Amino acid sequence: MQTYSIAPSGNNARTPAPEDTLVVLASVRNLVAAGLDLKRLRTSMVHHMQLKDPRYSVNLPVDANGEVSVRLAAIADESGDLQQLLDGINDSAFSALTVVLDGLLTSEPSARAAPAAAAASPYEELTAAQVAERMKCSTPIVYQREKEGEFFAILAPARVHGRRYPAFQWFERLDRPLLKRVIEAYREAGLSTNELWNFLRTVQRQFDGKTGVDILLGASAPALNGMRAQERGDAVMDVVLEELSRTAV
Amino acid sequence: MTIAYFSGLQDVGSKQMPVVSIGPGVPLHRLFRFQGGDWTIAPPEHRKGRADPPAGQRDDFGLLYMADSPVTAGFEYGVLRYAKDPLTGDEQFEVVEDDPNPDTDELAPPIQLVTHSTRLAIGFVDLEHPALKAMFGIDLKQPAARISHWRELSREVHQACLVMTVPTVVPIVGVTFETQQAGGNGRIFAVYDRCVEMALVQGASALLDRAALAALLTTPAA
Repeated sequence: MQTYSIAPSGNNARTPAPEDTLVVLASVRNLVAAGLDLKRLRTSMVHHMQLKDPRYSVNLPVDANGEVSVRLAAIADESGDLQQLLDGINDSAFSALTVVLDGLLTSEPSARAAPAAAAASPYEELTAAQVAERMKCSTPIVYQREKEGEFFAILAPARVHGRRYPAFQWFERLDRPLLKRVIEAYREAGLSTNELWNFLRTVQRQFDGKTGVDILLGASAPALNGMRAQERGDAVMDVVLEELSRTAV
Repeated sequence: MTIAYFSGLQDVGSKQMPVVSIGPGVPLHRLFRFQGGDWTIAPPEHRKGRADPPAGQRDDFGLLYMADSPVTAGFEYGVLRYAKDPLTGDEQFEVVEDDPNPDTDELAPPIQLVTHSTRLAIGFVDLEHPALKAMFGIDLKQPAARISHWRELSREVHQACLVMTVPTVVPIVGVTFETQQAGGNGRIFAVYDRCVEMALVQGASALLDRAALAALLTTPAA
């Protein structure tokens, strides 16, 4: 897949596109092959966007809310002849599809097969329905997998809106085995998942100013650099267990 | 630090140990939730604090952890946090309220604050003092800043204190270090189990007033 910034024009004239426009020229098949989850395309309001594959990164203007809007055109391009393709573009090809992307998956085949796209912010709290959508399953399945300790939910204040699921748990770079160890440790200590979430959001000096969420998402911290996965996990669990020891009295 | 102290080297078990000394009548604060948590040392299976003995040696000694101020105790206990806001992702100070456990719907016992006071002038070995690195060959930050290094160093310090033969200027009753909680800047004082009664006068406990704690957090020191 290649990306080009061009402007829609009735005369096929190719003038610079507005800076908030990214036009992707590729067949649907190529878009999928590049890792774009077409099911995640939304025609809703502007949403966060992440370009995870640096090969496809572009400098898009970010507004005050940290959001970008993107215009996407998916066009048959089986011939691979770009010039011929551009010559054949008409207005409708561009105007028909104004969408907002909620995450571009990486082009790694293994990750491409992942059922869930990353949310915009790891600290965002999702509803069970949103989690079910990401996992492409029903909400009872979400509850079941939560019960099995694969991920955790928190209880919203005053219980008005029910359970919420911190979004980082569906980020592709999550160290899922380590998250399960952390969840299990909190369960064994009899502490609530709200307390777990408070801990994971807290900035840790031991992690050089990173949070537990950052570390679970693979952020580097000098204290953890050079460690193998098991040792890194043990070092993180040391901090978890210290936290638990403080609140166990 | 919010309390007056004296810092210097003392002969402890034939070693020149860095000691932080505080006088009599100095308040030391501790948060707890469960009955007996104000004065009772954690059993060996729960000794996983920063200065507790290493795994496999947790019977060796226990520590009663206290802080130099209620704010420091609040950060240590997790009532005060410097955390990322779920809505904005921005870092901010938070006062954490108690919520029911989503799995059990139960509310944990309320948090209480106890303020003990020192019975006499007492000393604590400063675990972060660079002199200890050369003395015991343990670097808290190398090759990686593991909590296990703290525990190993604490064990060595405890061993050195056990073999004291010459009286020290003030009795060495535990270890001290700066709080490692982001946002906090106070000091922790941890008293060895065998020294608690000798070193401290047990204080009264009261339910934690989060509003008062928050006010202390935002009020600049005089």
